Amino acid sequence: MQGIGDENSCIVVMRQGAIAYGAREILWIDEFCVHRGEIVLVVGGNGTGKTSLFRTLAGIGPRFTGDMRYLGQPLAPVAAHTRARNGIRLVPQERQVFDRLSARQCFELAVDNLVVRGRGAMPETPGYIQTALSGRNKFVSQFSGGEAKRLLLESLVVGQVQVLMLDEVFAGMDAAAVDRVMVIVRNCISRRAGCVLADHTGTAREAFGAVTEYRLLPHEEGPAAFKLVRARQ
Amino acid sequence: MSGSDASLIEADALVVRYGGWQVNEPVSFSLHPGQLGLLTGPNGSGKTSILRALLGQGVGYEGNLRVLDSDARRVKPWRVIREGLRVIPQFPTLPVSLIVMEYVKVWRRYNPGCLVERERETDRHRVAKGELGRLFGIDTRVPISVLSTGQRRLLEIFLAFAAKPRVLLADEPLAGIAREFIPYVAEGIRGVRESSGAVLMVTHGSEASPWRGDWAVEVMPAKCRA
Repeated sequence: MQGIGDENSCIVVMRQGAIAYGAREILWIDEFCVHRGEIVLVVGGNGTGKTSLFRTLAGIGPRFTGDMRYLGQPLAPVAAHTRARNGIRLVPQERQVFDRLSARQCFELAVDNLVVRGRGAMPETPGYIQTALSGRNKFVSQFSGGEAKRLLLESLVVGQVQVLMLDEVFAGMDAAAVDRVMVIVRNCISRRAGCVLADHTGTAREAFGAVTEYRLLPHEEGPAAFKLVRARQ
Repeated sequence: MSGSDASLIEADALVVRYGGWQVNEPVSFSLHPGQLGLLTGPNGSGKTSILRALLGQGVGYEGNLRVLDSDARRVKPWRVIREGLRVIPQFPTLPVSLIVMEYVKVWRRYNPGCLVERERETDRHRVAKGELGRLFGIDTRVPISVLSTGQRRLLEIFLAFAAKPRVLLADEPLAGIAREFIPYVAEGIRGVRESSGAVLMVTHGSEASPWRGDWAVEVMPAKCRA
């Protein structure tokens, strides 16, 4: 059993601080750590700060007032695109893809930006993008909600993934897409990456069984309304 | 005019089309008062497009589609809303720059069906103020942009039920909603059905959804997409 906060096995660690929009603190974190090969489930009600936590780690959201490290190095000064390239990937809850690009352009853009040339192996085009789009220059705006989410997911798991954050990834997904998510998560874990999920559907808990669980609970002391607590195993 | 058994929504050999592109295999269904109808099927098979066609959002289709006694091709969005058609959209569409309470006020103004009994409406309005906080922990004094995606969906669900719709189109109503609110959504849907309204729901089996519909129609992608 890995000790929490063990620097060597932690990919990402956040300590003693709050996630804050300006001066407004929303989530206090004593310690949050994603180990190598670990599946972490973030559990909390609507509006408790799950997405904010993900966005902070991805560098596109609120700031963190405490110490935040990625592979031992301070993460706060690292720009969002560099984090993504270095392997911190966030698959967002809503469809956030360039509507005016074709699906293939989206994927190629992701490959260009997320795969460091010459190092990470160029991934094969996923079957989904290949078969769904062959011979068709279909624009992202023409996709349905579920398809656009799937496209985003496929585009974000190319190259070297260290921490994969999946925000409500099962919402609106059909059975085939859910299976694909399972494959992606298992691949991540077998390659010693970490995977963080927020999931209200219960699919993740059912599929992965024993996982590390963090809960977002009401926080009495301090300005933040909620705190992140590691659930007992 | 229409008997109690007249259907609220009637689809006959419905095929959604985007330009020359056929989206789904033909589907037929009819939704009667008191019913819960489920549209299932893989991603991209046209389920949401069918809802958009019913709302008069300019989705092209072949076949026959009627909603609240009028041809869906001639549906005017504001008119179907006035006649009691409401939607819980797949992704929140609220104006993010408004304060929650401002939005609720604007919403009230444009939901004339809810102003029939003025006194009772005022009561309900007062309840609504407190209820958003009590039920969902939503502070009504903050901009909608501050709400999380789940909270925005809860707000839309709350208002959809508050409008006492004759027909409710619910597009994956549980997506992104915490489990503790599933009974609330289920209760609201039962309320619509018991007041002889009907619910047409888009859903995936993967959510382990608690719905037992009166019928379920699987919408399949067109085999030949020409």
